[in-house]
Amino acid sequence: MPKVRRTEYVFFYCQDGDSLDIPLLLRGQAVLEPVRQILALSILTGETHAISRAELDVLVSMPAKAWVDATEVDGGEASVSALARQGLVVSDEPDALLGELRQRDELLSSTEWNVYAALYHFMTKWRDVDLEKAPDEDPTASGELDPRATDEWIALHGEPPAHFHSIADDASAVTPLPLVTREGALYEVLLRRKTTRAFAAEKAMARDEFSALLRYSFGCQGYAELGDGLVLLKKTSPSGSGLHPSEVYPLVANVDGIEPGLYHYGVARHVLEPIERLSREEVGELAYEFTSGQPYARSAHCLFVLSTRFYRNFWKHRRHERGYAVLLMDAAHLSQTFYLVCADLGLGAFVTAAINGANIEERLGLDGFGEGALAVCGCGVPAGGASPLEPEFLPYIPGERIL
Amino acid sequence: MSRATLAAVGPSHGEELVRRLATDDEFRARLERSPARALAEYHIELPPSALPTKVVLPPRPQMMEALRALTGGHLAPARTSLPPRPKYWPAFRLAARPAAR
Repeated sequence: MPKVRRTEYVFFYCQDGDSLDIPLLLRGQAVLEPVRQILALSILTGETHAISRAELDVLVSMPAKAWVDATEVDGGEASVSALARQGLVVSDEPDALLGELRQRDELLSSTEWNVYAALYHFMTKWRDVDLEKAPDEDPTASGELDPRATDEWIALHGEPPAHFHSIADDASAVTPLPLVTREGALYEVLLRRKTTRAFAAEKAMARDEFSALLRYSFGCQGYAELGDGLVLLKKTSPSGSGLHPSEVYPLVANVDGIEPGLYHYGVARHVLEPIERLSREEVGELAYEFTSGQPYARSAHCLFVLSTRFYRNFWKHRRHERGYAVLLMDAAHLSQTFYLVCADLGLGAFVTAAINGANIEERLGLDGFGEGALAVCGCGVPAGGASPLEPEFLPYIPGERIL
Repeated sequence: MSRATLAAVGPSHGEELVRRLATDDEFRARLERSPARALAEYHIELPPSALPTKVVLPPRPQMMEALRALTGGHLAPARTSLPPRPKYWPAFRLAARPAAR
């Protein structure tokens, strides 16, 4: 007899909305009617399921920390089996899908995931999203990459909030600050950093530049042994508690002397660990897929998937509400350092969180629970000329002109 | 299903069905030909009495309007989410300008 328990990783949500009446739909009428429904959000599957009040009663009556016979559950075994396949109930039944869901539940628990962090992370993970193709589904709308789309957006939603914000009603009450100008390589690089979305496909990126980029953006510069097995790392970006759980997976398209393909950056020895050899064309398609259909990613000389080993952080910040935010910040710090090193090397850089995390994890062989993708950086030799995806910024000096 | 509405199949499946009716002629033809079988793909079972003798679907533009209403005015990409996913802009697209740089 299968034993079951409710997963701890389910949330319930009551939603008011509209729905279509299907019998009327089959008679040529698209009639919307208001509905109120209970939704169960399964973190194990990342899916949302409409459930009945009776099913909700079954779920809340079932323990999450103890196994019970499926036959003893209100509603019977068949009802529980359906809930298990939706990732709302964990079952010990010998079944491939149920076994996979049970393993996910155990991983979330054993790696100390905070439930709110898990809810956010797994319910917002993308799979097979193609931002370029989606707008084409509405033939009357401008595509997201159509210049008219900005005007349409403003017409629809009004102007955005002001670009500068001030809380001073009385201009004479403010404290003026000296406009200090600093010189030197750091300040020059800070002023040159920018996002680049057009690359010169005909030129290869130099192997030394690629190596320097990895070493100074993601490499290890120092360490401190704090106890049995606990070693903190020093890198060029900060990391919560010095744990540096971020990992980097280069997707190489066009770097002198390096075969195109997918690699892991081995920080300890500063090496590329091969995962998959690919043609340049295949790399381009993978770059497009990883970045959810952002076309410029195809022309980048190299992409860098930023993943994180969740438990490296959660080992210390166990089920902590802020642990996951720290992981996102770690990735963001790395991306800024990456931008700065790219600027110093004369390379163009970009970073995006609009990624197909599920696709990336499958390709890299990550389970998504112990380690998962958070962002993708990319770089390359910048293309000459203006790009429609790169604004031309004019210099701004505070106080000289108030926009 | 106690009520034959899309709500009963959940937001992901329901929105996906409306999206296909707004964009996929092949699926529309299949639904008109074999409604019970096509709806079953979305776990929707209607009693025979709820099925018309001849299926007539609302035109695609009308389904697109319904999709907009269901998704809060935004067209979401392939996978739906809760609340409906707003339009995501990877970058602002600029009008063409001279190449001087």
